[in-house]
Amino acid sequence: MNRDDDPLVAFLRQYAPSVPPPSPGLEARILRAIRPQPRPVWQWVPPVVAVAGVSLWLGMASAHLGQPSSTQVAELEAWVEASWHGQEGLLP
Amino acid sequence: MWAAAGVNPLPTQVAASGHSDGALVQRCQQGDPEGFRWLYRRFQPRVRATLYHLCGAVALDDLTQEVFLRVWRGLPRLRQPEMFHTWLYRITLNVAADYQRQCAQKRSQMETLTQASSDRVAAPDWLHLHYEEVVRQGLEALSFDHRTVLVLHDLESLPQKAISEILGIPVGTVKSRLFHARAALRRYLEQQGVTL
Repeated sequence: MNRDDDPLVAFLRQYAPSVPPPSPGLEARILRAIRPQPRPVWQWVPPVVAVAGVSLWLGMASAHLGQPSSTQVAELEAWVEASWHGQEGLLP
Repeated sequence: MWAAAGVNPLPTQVAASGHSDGALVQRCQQGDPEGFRWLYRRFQPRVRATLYHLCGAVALDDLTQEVFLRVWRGLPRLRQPEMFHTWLYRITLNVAADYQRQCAQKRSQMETLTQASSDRVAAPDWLHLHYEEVVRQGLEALSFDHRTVLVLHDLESLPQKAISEILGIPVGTVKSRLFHARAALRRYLEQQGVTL
């Protein structure tokens, strides 16, 4: 450090503004803030609704996919009926 | 890091909690709030003093809280506990810089509140109070960069190498900023009638 600066630094250290004490509850406030808080019930609602909605949609979609259309049913019935009676072209 | 270089500006305190800084940091990293309480008690005075000299008294409690909340959230990612001091000062300065930016938008209001806050300090030594106010205003007149280096070096007694690590700038830049900050402050003090 430059010796010329010694008086300045000494003056600064002597007259540095005094730091005000923390408010009495500050430590407790900070420690409260870092502790994990239980999640309020209302915060559970959106995820639950979202999961239920997706499940419902998936269920309906899979049910819809598993069910043949009326045209397919008719074709199937016709084929069964025809093969049952041994129509030509259906049996070797 | 600084200790390895033979300089430890923040001497390890074991007596208060029975744990070294590193042990406390590790306890906090495991999510132990009681460890964090000791860490807070150990470092709060320095953090608070730095924030006060950089930002004043108005939001001091809130800024202190913000620093320690950022510390708590960031501790799990701190890979080198021995770098805790540097890391803590970095967070402190980031919080101070954020606050300065906010203040720039509502400076006149803040100055009024700061004045009111200063008025609350009661002491019988009026000359001492006068000089404290002169120093406070002198620090406030400096740019944030110059004030930061001056506070860390001359008031917090951190070595220049440590300051360069905290700020991420070369030691030469620290020296340069310190030189200009002191020159500006000396001029200000002389204008206020202070003879050094």
